Amino acid sequence: MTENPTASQAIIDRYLADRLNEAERDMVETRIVHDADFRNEIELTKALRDGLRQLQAQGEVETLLKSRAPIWKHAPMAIAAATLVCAIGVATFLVYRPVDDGRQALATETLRFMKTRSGDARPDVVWQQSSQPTRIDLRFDVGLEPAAEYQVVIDRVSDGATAPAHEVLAGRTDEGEVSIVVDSALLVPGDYRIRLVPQSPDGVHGATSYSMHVTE
Amino acid sequence: MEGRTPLTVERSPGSVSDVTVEQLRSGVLFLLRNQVREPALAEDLCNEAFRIVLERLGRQPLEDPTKLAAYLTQTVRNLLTADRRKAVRRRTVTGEQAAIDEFPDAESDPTASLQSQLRARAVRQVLQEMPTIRDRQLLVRYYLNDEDMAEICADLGLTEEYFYKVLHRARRRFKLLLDKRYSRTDLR
Repeated sequence: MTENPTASQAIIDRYLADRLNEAERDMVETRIVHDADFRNEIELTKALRDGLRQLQAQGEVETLLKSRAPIWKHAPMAIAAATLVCAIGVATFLVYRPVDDGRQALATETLRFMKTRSGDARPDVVWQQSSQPTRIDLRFDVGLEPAAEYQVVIDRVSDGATAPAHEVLAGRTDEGEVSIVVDSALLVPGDYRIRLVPQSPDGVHGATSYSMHVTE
Repeated sequence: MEGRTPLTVERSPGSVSDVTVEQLRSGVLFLLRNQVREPALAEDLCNEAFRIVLERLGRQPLEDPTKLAAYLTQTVRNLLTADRRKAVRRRTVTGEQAAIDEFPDAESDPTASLQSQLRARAVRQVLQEMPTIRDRQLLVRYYLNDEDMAEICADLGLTEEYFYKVLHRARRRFKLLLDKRYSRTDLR
């Protein structure tokens, strides 16, 4: 029997929070006795809960819910980096302001790509080209454990042959997605294959492919 | 039950092998250590549970071997209930002292205190590495405040899928930190 890990974890969470009825608790405790993997999951979740309680007892939880601590651990570096970013920002603004004035007005459209189901011939996303120039934010759900960085390769597919259309390096967003923004002029009507190649040396993450169809 | 070999102590196959007993013993001890404070009492109750179950199997085989864990678990529950009743009967202190005795002093066990510190350190790192404050709130509200998943999702504007994605990542990271930095015994 293949068990849904989310359902299994949910029942562990409810067991540790003492939210199960008697029959459910009996079932969980019987499983604790004979299933070592299940026991390990309980042990891990219990340790996580204990760790949180200890942090609360030390008065750290409130602070952690307010700040993003790590960068300020290296205050001099952070201040230097912030100053550099500000300087680059101001310089870029002064130099490119006349050019950017027109681009500011561009509308942005977001297209979300979920993992393709194998055997499904339909494109993951179908997008109708807009008559006005648009910036397109392509967002990819890369699963539960995304790599820190991906090479995003967009190929145009025509009559079985592929031609490179765009290639860029992208990090993941706060939401755990990979996002790139492209100009709509890049995506002329036709079929596209988009590959996300993880840039991690661990070998854990594999490349993921998505498909897109652009209509007129 | 047709097709299943009745479970007995002596005969093989179908008897309770050493491996089975050892695996089940780990499970029973885990269950007991989460329910009673003293490790020695947990050991005693575990031994007693196995004595009762093995004696019963010696007299009368279990028709359905898959029910052994359930039978053992029920025996443990009965023993725990009996032990708690016995403890109440034997109690000589009452009132305020009884209330104080209910709460063990965590500082009195240096090993437990150290384990607690190690876990806290790992959790702190997990929280610090979370990309958004909202994800941290999710973890704290769910595991520390025991709030309901649906309520947290509604409050923070999250989908159930995203909720479990964040929890899954946090648990994986926490496990990695513990496995990397500390030996597995630190967890226990």
